[in-house]
Amino acid sequence: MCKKILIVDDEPHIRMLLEQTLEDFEDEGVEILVAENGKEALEYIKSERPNLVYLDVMMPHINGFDVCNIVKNELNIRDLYIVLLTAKGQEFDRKKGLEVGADLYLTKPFDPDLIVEKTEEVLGIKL
Amino acid sequence: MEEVNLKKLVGKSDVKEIINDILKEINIEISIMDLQGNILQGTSKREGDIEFPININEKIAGFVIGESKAAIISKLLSYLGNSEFDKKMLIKETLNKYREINLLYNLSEKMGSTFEAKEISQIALEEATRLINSTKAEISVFSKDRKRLEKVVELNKHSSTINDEALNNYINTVLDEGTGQIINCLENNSSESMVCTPLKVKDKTLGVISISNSNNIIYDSEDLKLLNAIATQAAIALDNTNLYESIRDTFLQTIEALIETIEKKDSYTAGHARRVAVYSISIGEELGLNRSELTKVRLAALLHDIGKIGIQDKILLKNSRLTGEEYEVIKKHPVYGAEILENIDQLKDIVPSVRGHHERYDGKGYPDGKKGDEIPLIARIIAVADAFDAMTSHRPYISNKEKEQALNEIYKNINTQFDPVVVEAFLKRAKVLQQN
Repeated sequence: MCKKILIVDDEPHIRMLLEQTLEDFEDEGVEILVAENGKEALEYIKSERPNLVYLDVMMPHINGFDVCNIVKNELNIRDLYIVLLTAKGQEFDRKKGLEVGADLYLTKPFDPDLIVEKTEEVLGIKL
Repeated sequence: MEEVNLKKLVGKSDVKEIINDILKEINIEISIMDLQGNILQGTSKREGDIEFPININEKIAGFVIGESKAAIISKLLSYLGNSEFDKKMLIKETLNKYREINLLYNLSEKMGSTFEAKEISQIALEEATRLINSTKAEISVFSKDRKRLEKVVELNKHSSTINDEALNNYINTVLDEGTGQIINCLENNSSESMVCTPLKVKDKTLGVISISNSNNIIYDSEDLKLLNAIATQAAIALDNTNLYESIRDTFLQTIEALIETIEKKDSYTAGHARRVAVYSISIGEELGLNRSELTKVRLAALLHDIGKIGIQDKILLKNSRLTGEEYEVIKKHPVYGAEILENIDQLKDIVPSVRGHHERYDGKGYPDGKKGDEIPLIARIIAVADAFDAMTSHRPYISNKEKEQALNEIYKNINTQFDPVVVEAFLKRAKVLQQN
């Protein structure tokens, strides 16, 4: 089964930037899925079972914390690595991130090299 | 340059929908083929079909195959492909900016945590060699008189074969012109290349950073841009280091001047402060104090008698026995010392230790009659060191026997005058010193 990465952000340019950053993984047979909000993200996670998700925290309605909490604590999906993305300067509630079961959190503007590195590590693929 | 993937473009649901709508409208059948001959949409060729090229970024990316009306689809796909291409370029540019922002953010954070020129240079070079392909990297800065360029740190990732002379020539050119340069192939037929840029703050050039490679690497403007970004950060940090050092020097010189003042006034105390500092530090070390605490010990010991400046000469320098009244005046010197030092921010920490160096462990000392742990540890240390020096410094040569007697005297006053833990540490040190 091919590996899948899910990108979740309500801002189109961040989605594009993440997609471009992760583009080379497609050549390794990785499927990249993109969701525009928390609701869509949850649907994808349930139906497509991605291995890794880059999840924006600040989204209307269902935010990143909520998505993370539902996935890890309600749906009990443990084999999904969740990276929370927050805007720089925005106070990130580490405790809350930990409580909802996020595996890592990064700040935007994200470091593309770090994203590639982390993805390689989580998916076990070396570009 | 990254090509736009035609398969992906055609596979997009909205693109698919538009094409199908148009085909229905103009009532033709087409197929879309990439450069490798893979059919991405539609069936294989029909009789009399024409191949219309899809041009993306002035290159043929594939073909639309069909009757003459199919040209419109190739035009549409060329247009969409070029838009996609432009978008991709913008995204890439933004990602590069992201990289730079993160680089600068990390650099300034790392460099901000130190005032050591060597450490700052090391951080800058490590970051530079991580991002720019290199076999050698170095940072040199001007000496204080600005006559020489001195190497601060050099990283040799592999045993480099770079021709140092040629390299230095180019470094001088960069410094003369004041802007960064790329030099591919240092000399004719050479496999050596370098990027080099000055370390500048405002109009002041502090030195130069250079990255070189002996393996036929061609450096480009992107490499220089990165090195410039690193150089800017490093230069600011190095400049701060210089400022910090000059402030620190001024501070140390001020303290020297203060000590000198009291020594000039009272020849008896000449050398006393420095010896008390030596003894106090060795006690502090024995007690396991950390570096910053030992610095405080040193400063407090050096300055413990500074308050004597405020005592009238006829009392301070009196050879005969002091009257009770005069002795009361002398006893004010710890308070005077504290009052003098309070004026210097960097010395605020040691004020209580200077004030307390004549307190006694049993509470019978002065000026506040504090006892035990109420007396600052540094004051308790200085009390022991001060007493030892007073007993041993009256003559140029002191025999071991006399030292022994002084130590015994101190030992006798454990718990009354002195803190037993401090005395124990001092005796331990003194023993080690005597054995050596």
